[in-house]
Amino acid sequence: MRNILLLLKKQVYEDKKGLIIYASVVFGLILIPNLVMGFFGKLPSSQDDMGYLGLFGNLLFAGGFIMVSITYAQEMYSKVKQHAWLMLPVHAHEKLIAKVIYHAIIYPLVLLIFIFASSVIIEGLNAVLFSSSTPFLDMTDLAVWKMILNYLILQSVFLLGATYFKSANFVKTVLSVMVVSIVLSIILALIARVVYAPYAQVMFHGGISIDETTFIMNTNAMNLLETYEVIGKTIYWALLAPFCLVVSYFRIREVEAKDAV
Amino acid sequence: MITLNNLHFSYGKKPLFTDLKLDVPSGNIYGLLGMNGAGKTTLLKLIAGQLFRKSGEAQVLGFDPVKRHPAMLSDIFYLPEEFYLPNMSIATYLKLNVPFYPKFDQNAFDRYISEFALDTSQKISDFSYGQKKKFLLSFGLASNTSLLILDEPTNGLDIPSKTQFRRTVASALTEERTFIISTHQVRDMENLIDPIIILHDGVIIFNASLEDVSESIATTLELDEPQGADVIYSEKVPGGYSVVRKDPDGTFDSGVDLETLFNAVIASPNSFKGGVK
Repeated sequence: MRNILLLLKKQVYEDKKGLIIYASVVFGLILIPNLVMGFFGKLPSSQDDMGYLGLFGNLLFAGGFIMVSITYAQEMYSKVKQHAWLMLPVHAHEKLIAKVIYHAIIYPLVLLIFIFASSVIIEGLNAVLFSSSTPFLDMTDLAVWKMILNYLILQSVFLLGATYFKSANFVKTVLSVMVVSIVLSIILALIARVVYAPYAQVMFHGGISIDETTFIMNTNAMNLLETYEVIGKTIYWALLAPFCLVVSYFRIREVEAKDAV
Repeated sequence: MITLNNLHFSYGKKPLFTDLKLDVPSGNIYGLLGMNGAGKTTLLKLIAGQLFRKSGEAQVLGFDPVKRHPAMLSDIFYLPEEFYLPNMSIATYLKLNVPFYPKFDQNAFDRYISEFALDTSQKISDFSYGQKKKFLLSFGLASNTSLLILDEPTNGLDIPSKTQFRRTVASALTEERTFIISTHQVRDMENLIDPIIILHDGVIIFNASLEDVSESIATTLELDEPQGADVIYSEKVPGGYSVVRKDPDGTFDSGVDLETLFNAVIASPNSFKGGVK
């Protein structure tokens, strides 16, 4: 535990400058359009908090995935920084856990607090300067926490991409996810074609056509569909992240000096 | 301290080390010499656990280096030829890195920093290459690790710093510590490194202390081109010939010139097979 805390402290210190720039840019991107719209009297008089919620979602997923993707490329596979990474006297699992805590827990929570604080400041300014304001980001909104939960799962895929690919990790991970999705879709379509053969019309001669009335009326077919849903949810919520973390761990443990690019 | 047995290593299909054997006891400053591409840095990386052997056995400080156990890594400091230092003050660097090295001695660090005339108020990223190297060297020496690996440590150091380097490194050696210095700058290391390990084409062709060397061979400067069966190697230098002779009886009262010895070993490795005993 001590080593993980030391690694987190090290990471925060080393990223401090970049994080300050990131936060300043985000704050500026929210503040400046608000001020401009307020100056020209075009601030919305009423607006739900989707503006801040949407911004939080974008920064959480896009920003978080990019950060996770570059984190290992900057250390584990970097020709100049890899030496320090390899010689750091900690276990491979401690290196992994520290990164996971940093990217999957600290980042979303700090981002949430930051967007909330920004929304309070900006809406306060709007109220004082232009007598118009919209609601702050609601931190208790269930949608916020659903986003964070989904981010927890999905960032593990990018973590795997970060440890698996030696360069252009983000792009390669996105492309790999697309390829895997296409392949899985084809396989699932073929399985569906076999399992639901009685309900499907000619599949390879004129597309898929399912007789919905017969399908919904059939208890077996519906039960199967529910089973697949449970399987799918189990894979997503319970298996995907542990699988990605275990594979990432082995990649971290097995990385060598000759892997640096 | 370090034992390598029948070690095999290759980059792709090209073997670099086959059946490499090396035994390094503690308490010495070893000089690892070799031509470009001989495998010096690869050997250091295998010792530090940065590269994995294909087969064979390796023990470093009682650990298998492949496992990169934190207890082993916290007892090794490896200063590579190329390195990165973050943009922060010396105090912050120490705050973040010292906890990983339990034997770190702050007083010794302050002394080394002062000996190398480094400005502690400056950010380490603002240091010149040579200053960065002196900073890392101070950190490595103060960390009191049992094994200190230095790859080309005098590259980028000015002349007074090279002298200071020799003085500081020599003063930091204890019975429990071992320093391995890989270098091409043999002249910079004279009177510091002993024993000498020479690596050539992936094979350790020489591993002996200078005392052993001087008991059986002599390096001399002679005016005329040397003749005789006892001449192992000679090269023309300004003012005559630098000669390496067999001298088992101690006829020649001369020290060992490292550069000439190195050239002699590379030119006729069979004359030195297994080191001079």
